[in-house]
Amino acid sequence: MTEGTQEALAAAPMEPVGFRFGGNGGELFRIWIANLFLTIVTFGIYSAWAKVRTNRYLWANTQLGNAGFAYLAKPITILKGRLLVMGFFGSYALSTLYAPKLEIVFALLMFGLMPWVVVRSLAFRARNTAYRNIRFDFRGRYGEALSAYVLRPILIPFTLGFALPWVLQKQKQFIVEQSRFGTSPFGFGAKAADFYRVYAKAVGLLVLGVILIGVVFTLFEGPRAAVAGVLGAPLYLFFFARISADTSNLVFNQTSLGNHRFRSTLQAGELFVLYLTNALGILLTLGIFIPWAKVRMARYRMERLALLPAGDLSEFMAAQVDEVKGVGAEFGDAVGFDFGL
Amino acid sequence: MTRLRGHFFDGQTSRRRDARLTIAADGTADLQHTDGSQRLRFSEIAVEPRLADTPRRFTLPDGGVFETTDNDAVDRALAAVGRGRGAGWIHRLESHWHQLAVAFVVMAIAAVSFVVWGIPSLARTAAFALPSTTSAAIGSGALEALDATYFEPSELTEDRRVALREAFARVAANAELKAMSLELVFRRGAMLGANALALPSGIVVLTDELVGLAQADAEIEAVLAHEVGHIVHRHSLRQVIQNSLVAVAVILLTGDLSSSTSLVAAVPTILAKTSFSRAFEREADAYAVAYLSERDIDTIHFANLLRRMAELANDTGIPGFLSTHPATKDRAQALENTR
Repeated sequence: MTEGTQEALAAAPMEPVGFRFGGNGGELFRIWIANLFLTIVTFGIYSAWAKVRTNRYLWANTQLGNAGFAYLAKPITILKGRLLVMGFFGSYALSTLYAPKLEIVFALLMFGLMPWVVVRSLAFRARNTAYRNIRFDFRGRYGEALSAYVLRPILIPFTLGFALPWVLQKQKQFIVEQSRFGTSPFGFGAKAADFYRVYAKAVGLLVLGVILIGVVFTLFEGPRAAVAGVLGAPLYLFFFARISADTSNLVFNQTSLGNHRFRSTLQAGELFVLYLTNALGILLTLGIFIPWAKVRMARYRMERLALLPAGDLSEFMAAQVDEVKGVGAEFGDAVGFDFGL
Repeated sequence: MTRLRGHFFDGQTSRRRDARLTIAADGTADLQHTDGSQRLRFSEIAVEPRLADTPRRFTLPDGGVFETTDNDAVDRALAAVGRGRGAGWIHRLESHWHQLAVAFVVMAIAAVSFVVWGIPSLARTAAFALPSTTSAAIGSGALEALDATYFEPSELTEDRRVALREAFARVAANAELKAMSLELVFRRGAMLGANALALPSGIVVLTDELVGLAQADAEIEAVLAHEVGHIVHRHSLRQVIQNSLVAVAVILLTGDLSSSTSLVAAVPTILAKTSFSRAFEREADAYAVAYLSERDIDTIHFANLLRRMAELANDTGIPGFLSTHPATKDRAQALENTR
């Protein structure tokens, strides 16, 4: 560490700069319906433009301090990527229909492609995101992605799941440490032990809940399946909320950007209520509530996130960033990768 | 002349500068910001299409960005020089609740009709356009897999088998199948109990338990005709095609907002799949009825066997819209009505 940065750290703590999501469900709903309509009448071609408009809306409404993020991907890049991915899966479906043995070849191909897809998806998203006209970047490589997303996860079943927190810690570390904003690298300080603590807490809670449900079972006569459903579903949801909140908090609180730090204060209870009401809303409205659910979730996550600046936020420098082709990212979308931190 | 207030980001550092962009009638654009100014042609500046009221980005030739929230003024400036017509109407569509409501209703009706009528008829056309070896390819290995998990060797006597094979030969002779041979095999159903299955490769499996349940050979002949009906109508292949089409339709409708939609997508998918499956059962029943009446066998035999199977299974209690088969007593009733 240079003397200059040490001085900056020693300086009086600056005010946290809050994140904020400014979008609203009505707008997102209208964008969604217009997207659907145009996608259907263009036989799917518009879907690339649809993706860009949705993401532009979500990015632009995510604000840090007095500026929003920008989504810069071009629809044509996404369309080309989607066509290539469709071609791949189409030839897969056809060839397995006529020559079932080819399935193994495709499975191996998918295995080999997977790290490339991870790297390209992350790079596509990072390089098409800008804040104050400075782009993000992701510089992870195939080999690192291979161990993070293919080799280490193989251990999970053999260790009866005990390797999971370690595998996740390595994946988050890979994503964060290979990311940059302009020329400034992100740093990651969370250790595997921290992830084990998060999971131990959540699993302990789950065990306690299952014991409680067992007690209720022995005390009350009646339709047991209904009791298990009424008590079990919220328990599962809370377990999920606990892990999600604690993991997000851990990752953000241990992430640095240059000398700047982050602070995330998600509460499992609040997240649980959001999950529950969103799921009910979506079910009761047969899906119409989806855009509002998305906006509520984004609002909550952003209002609980802040940047702790160590200095002036005007001094990030741009770096040379190359364009990424869309095929890897679309492949990632097609097989359902989700890299939310 | 249009004056826009906003901010300028030069693309070199993350500094945010207060800025003003003045677009003159002669097509010049003057950018003035805290640390300097730039004179450009408006036509050199790429203006992002409008999206709700998110800040509008003007990208300059050198990579700098001017951003303003005064969307209406931007639209007027673009309209004055004849730009922005292409993307502008998307924003207008997105802003109109009642047009979107109409679009929504039209789409809902279109989507439901596509799933209910479009997909089955597309799948039928596709299934019969493909060579009949396609079905066989899908089903290769199916019997081995079933043998490994469910079935046990049959304990029927040879005499019984010969009689049943004769009945099957009558059914098979009646079926119009190009380049596909039908075969009857006997198994003990074990976990599957009294049952008969049609595999896409042309194999019909009959369980000992079903043979035991039947009180007349005509009953078994009816069941065999039902199973051959599945094969003649290429139901396995059509099912594969229909389920893929449903998946494509669901992705098309919800793919744009993917992460929270898996549950929402699952419900219509299950409803569609079980509805297709019930339609196939009815089609196979109709095939059996046609066969029976052609051979002057009373359809009551089929109904009798179905009723006995229903008593044995005590019906599952799954509501009709979630079941893969129409309720057995409804099928039996429908069969009696055909007499």
